[in-house]
Amino acid sequence: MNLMLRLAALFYVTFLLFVGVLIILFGLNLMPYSAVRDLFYIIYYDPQVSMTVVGIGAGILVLNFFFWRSLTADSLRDKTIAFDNPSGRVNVSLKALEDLIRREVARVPEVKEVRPSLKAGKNGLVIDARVVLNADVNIPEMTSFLQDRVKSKIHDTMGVEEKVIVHIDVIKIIPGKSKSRRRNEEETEKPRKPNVPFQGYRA
Amino acid sequence: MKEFNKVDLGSVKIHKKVIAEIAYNAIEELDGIRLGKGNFLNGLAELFNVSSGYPGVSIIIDKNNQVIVDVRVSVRYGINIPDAAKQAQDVVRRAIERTVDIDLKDVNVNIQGIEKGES
Repeated sequence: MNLMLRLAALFYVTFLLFVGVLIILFGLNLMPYSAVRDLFYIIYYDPQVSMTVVGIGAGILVLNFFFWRSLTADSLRDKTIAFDNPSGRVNVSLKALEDLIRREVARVPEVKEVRPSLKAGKNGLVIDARVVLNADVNIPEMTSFLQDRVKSKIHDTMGVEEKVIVHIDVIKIIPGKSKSRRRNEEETEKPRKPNVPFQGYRA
Repeated sequence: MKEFNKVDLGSVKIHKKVIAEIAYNAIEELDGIRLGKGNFLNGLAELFNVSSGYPGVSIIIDKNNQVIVDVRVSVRYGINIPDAAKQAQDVVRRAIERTVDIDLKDVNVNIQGIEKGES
């Protein structure tokens, strides 16, 4: 969060707090009606005070504008990767690539959940993947495996030689066995019935 | 001399919707590529009769009367995106140039999503 956004947030919190307290006090009759009336009277009829109030209003509007710009800066940033063909331009939405990564990583049985987020910048394509893993996996091995898998998938699918940086954040470990290990154990634990010929045959 | 021999039979106007329909049908025939669904803005545009009527296809005519076709598609999981995009561009360009002899400038492809399917 940059400084401007912090200041705007601080201003809004303070302003809303002030307005909220005033409304409560007025509603509970703790603030005399005459005081409110006098205040509005002064604002309305005193030119200096009314100009000050206009200035404050304009300041709030300007701050509001900056606040809105800061909040929407992320949504306005370029969310596609583009390359040109002889026939025209091809834009690939970063959301499509997020889908691609989600599907690719979901194929790994040890990964319970993945939330990828992509940023395309000067340094190449930066992928932040937040994953939920099963408890019985070796995390360094698994994350390295996922990084390689995501990177190669992006290279294969996009055919770009751009640098791809994959950050993996393990946000949660879920206790329990992974699907593949459970399946292996079930197979080994299952007692094998001997193959008896003429089984169930009744004379 | 040329002007003398010229016979003016009238003008032929091709509506944007016709070009959009050609592009739509060309993309529909491709395997592994599907046209994107229209979003809220497309719905609004259609309501006010501004849209091409084919979700996922937009036709733009620039100042020089050159036509630009914008298609929004999603590709099946496992398909190479540049290849799919190039295929879509070629198919649309061929179909439009074959059917209506217009000055087609660009066919822009926007890949908006990945669909379920086998690689």
